[in-house]
Amino acid sequence: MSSPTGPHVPNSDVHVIDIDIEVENIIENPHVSIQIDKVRESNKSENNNMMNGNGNLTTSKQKTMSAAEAVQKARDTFNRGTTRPIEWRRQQLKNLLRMYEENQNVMVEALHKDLRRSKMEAILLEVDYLINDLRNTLHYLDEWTKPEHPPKGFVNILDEVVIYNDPYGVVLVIGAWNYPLQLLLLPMAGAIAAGNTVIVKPSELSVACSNFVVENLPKYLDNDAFIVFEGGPQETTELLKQRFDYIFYTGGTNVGRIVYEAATKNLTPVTLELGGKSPVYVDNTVDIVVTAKRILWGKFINVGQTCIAPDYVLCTKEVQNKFLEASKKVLKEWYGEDPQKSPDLCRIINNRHFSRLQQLIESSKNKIAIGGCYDSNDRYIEPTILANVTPADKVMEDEIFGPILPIVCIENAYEAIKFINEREKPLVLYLFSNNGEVLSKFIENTTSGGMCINDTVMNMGVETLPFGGVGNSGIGAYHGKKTIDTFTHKKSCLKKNFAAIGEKLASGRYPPYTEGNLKFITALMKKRHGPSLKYLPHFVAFAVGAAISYGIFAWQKMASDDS
Amino acid sequence: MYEENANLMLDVLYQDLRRSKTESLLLEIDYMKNDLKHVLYNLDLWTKPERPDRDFVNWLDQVFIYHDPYGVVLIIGAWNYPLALSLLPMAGAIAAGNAVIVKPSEISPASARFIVEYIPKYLDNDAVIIIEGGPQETTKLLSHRFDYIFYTGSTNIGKIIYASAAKHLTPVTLELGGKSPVYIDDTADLEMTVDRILWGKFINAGQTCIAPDYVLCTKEIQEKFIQKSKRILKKWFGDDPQKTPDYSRIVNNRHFSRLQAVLDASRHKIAIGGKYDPGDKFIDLTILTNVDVNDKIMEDEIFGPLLAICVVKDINEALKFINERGKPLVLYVFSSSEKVHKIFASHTSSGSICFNDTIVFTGVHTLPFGGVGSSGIGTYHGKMTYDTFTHRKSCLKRNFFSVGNKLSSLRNPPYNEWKLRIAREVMRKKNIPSFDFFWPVITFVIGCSITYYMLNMQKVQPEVLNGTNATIYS
Repeated sequence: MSSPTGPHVPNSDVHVIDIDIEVENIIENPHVSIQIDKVRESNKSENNNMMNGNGNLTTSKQKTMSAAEAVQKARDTFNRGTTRPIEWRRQQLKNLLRMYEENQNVMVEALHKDLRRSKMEAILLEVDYLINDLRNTLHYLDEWTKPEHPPKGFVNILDEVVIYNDPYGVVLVIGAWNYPLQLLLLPMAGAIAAGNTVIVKPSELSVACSNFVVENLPKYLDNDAFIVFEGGPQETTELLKQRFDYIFYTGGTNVGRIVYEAATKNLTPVTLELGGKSPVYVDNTVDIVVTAKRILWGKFINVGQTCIAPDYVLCTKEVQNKFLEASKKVLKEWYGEDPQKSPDLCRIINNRHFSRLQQLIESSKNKIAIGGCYDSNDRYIEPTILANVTPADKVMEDEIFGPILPIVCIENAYEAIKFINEREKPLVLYLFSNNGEVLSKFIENTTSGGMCINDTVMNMGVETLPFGGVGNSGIGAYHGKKTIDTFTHKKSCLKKNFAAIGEKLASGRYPPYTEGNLKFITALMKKRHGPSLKYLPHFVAFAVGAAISYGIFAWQKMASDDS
Repeated sequence: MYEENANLMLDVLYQDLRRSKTESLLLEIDYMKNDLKHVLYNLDLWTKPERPDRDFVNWLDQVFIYHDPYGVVLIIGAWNYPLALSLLPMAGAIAAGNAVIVKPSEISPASARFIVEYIPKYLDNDAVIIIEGGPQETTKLLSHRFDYIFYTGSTNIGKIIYASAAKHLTPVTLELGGKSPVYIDDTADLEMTVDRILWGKFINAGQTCIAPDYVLCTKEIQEKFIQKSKRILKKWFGDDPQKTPDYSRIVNNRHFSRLQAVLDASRHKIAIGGKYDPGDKFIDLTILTNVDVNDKIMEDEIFGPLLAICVVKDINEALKFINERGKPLVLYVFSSSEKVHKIFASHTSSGSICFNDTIVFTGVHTLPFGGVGSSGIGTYHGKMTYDTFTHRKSCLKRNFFSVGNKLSSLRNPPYNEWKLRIAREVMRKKNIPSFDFFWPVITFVIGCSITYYMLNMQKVQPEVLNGTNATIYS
C-alpha cells in the first residue's frame, strides 16, 4: 500500500519517525500541517474505498491475527498519531453512524437470531439507543474534546492554566451477550471520540451479533485503528495478557474480578460494568397497577437478561397480594393466554443459562404464584413470579438474569433498608413510593450504582446521569459525556512565562531562605474567597438592558423634541 | 490541629528529613491549611445533590445525582512529604463522608508518631483510625476488604496494592512516580530556567515525586546551563552546601547508599557537586553531563539531589526519547515558543505538563494532579480530592401522573409498528437550543423594563406637578 504521507512506507519502526517528520514540518512551516491533514483525508477515503471493496478479505485476515499482533498493530497506529485529529475522529464516528443507519434491519435480524428479540425491543433498546447516543456525541464532539481552562488563584494571575484531553492509547472493550450490540459499540464510540485506538471483543455467546460486528465494522472504520477480535475464554485470556492503556469490561462480577486482576499487572485503569441483585421496594402509597406494569416491563424485556433488571421485590404481605393480582391481569393483557406464542417475548441465550434458570424454578416450585412453565426445546421460560420467598432460597443467592421475579415479604421500610444493606451494593435500587420521607430514608441510608424512583430501567435512558456500579456491581461510569471522559486522560498544564514581574514575585522561594521571603510568599499563596463571580453575567445583562432602554428613551425624547 | 501544632510539625519534618522551615511551611503545612480552608468553604456546595439537564422524554420527571461516600477508605502515605501525602487525602475522604484508616509511612518515624498521637486528639476515634507499621502490617491490612484505597508511593509497590485491591473489586487511586523529563530549547531565558529547575530539584533534596529527573537539551545549552548553575548554587548555598540550614538530608541509609551507588557509577560525568557524607546522610546537589541512556542513573527514578543531562540534537529526538519510555508523572518544557508548547502538549502523554517552571503547578487547586500509565491512576487536589472519595449515585425520579403514564405505556407489549414509531419519535435526540443564556436574557429584559418604567415615572411626575394633567384626561 503506498502511503501518501510521504516516502515513509509503514514498516516496523516507522511510527516514531512519522511523528518527527510531522513535527519538523510544523516547526519549519505552519502551512504544512494543513497539507498533512488533507493528505490524511485522501488517504482515508482511499482506505475506505478499499475496505468497501474487500470487506470479506479484511475480515478473513483479521481472524488469523494473534492477540499480540492485534495489540501491536493498534499501538503502532496510535503512536503514528493517526487518531489524534478531531476531524479524523468525526469522520470515523460518521462512518459508524452510517453503519447503524444502513444496517438497521440486519441488526434487528441478528438480535432476533441470538435472543429472538422482538423488533420493538431491538430498536428501542439497542439500535436507536446507539444512534441517538452517537448523534449526541457528534453534536458535542468539539466542545467535549477542546482543552478546558479552569479558574485560577491569585498567585497564577499571570499564568495560563489548561487541562488537555489526552487519549489513553490502546483501549480494550469487552462486550456482553445480553445486549450484544449496545454494550459493545456504545463504549467503543466513546473511545473513538476520545482519540484512542480500540480492540473490541464481542461476546462469543451471541453468535449472530458477533458475526455482524466482525463483518461490518471493518467496512466502515479504519482497520488499523479499530480491530475486532473474536473468541471465547481462551482467546480472551490471551488478549488480557497484553498491555492495554484502558480496559472497559461489561459482564459478570466473577469474570470482572479476573479482568481487573489481569489489568493490575500493567497498571491499566479499568471500567467494570458488572451486575448484582437490584432490589425493588414497593410500599402501599403507590398506584399498584402502574407499579406492576413498570416493574414487569423492566423485568421481562429481553426476558430478564438485563443487568439492571429488577431482581427481587421487597414489600409487605398486603402489597404482595395486590401486586400479584395486578400482575396476573397485566401479563395476560401483554402476552395473551399462552406467552410462549407471543412474538414479544425473548428466549434464553443458551442451554447452560436455560438449565440454570430451570433449576431455580424447580428449587422453589412450591412458591410459584404466576407462571412456572418452561420448554427446553425452545429455551422458553414463562414470566414467573415467586411469592413469600426467604433469603435462604436458591433464587436469592445470585443475580437471576432471567424471567423469574421473587417477592420477599418485609414489615416496613426499615427492614427493607436493613435487608439491602446486609447484601452487596446493587447496581440499581428501585423505589416505588409517594412518601417523600421514605424516599429520603432510602436515598441517605443505602448505596447503589444508581437509583430509579417509581420506574425501572428508564434511568439508563437519561444521558446526563452517569451509569455504573459501586462495590461488587462495578467500577467507573459511562453514558453521555461520561463515556468520552472515561477514555480521556485529563492532562493538567500550568504555563508560565519568563516575564520579569512574575519572576520577581516568585523569587522569594529560592534559598538562602529568610523570614521575610517566607512571609511574603505565604501571604501570596493564602487561600482567598473573593465575592463569587457567578452572578456577574446577570448583573452585566441587567446593566446593559438598563443602559440600552435609557438610550432608546433619550433618543426618543430627542426625536420628539426635534419634531 | 494544623494551626495549633504548626511548630511541632516543623520539628518532626526536621527530624525526619532535616527539612528547613520555609520548605516545610510552603510545601506541607500551609499547603494543607489552604487546601482545608478551601474544602471547608465549599463543603456545602460540593456535597449537595446535582441536578443535571434532562431530555425531552423526561420533562415530567426529576433527575438527581447524589453524592454517596464509598464506605471505609484506606490511605497509605509516603515518607517524602510524610504529612501532606497522608493528611490531604484524609481530609478529602472525611469531607466525602467516609470512615478512614490512615497508614503513615514507617520510614519517616517522627512524622508517623506525630500523626498517631495528634489525630486521635482532634478527630472522632471511631471514624478515623491510624495504623502504624511496615511492609508486614501493610500486607495484612491489604488482605481486608476496603471500599477505596488511596496509595502514594513507588510504581512497584503500587502494582502490589492494585493487585490486592482487584481481589475485592476495590477502586483505587495510585499516585506513583517515574522519571519526569525536562526539555530546554534555545528560546528559554536560561537564567530563570536554571533557577526554576534547580529549585524544583533541590527542595527536599530531590526526594519529590514531581522533581525534575533528567534534562534533555543540546550540547550548547548544556554548557551554559552548567555555568549558570555554578553561580546560582554558590549564591544559594555559599561555599559549603553541607553547612547551609536550607538543605534537606536523605531519609535513611538504604536510600543513601542507593544514591551513592548511582553517583559512583557515573563518577566521570560529574560536572558539579558529587560530594557526600554518609555520617550526615548528606549528598551534594550534583549535576551529571553527557549522560547516556545506558547509565545506571537513567534506569529508575532518581529521587535524590542528582540531575542528569542527556544531550539531544533537536526537539524530534527529545520527543522520541520521551515517548520511548513509560509515561512520566510530569513533563517540564522550557521554551518561549508557542509552537513548541503545542507540539509537546499534543505529541506526548504525561500526568501533567508544566511550561517554564517546575513543581508550582501542584499549587493550582483547579488542576487535577495524578499520573497516567506507569505513573499512576486517578487524580486529586482541590475539588478532585472530594470527588475521588465520592460515588456519584444517579437517580431518576418519576411520578404516577396520568399524562406521563400514557406516554410511557407505549413501551408495553403487545408491541406493534404504531407504538414503535411514536416511541422512536419521542426518544429521538433533539438538539434543542441551549438554555445557558436563559437567565441573562431574563435579567436583560427586567433591566430594560425597570429603566423604562422609571423613566416613564419621571416623565409623568413633572407633568402632574405642572398641573397640565394632559396624560390623565386624554
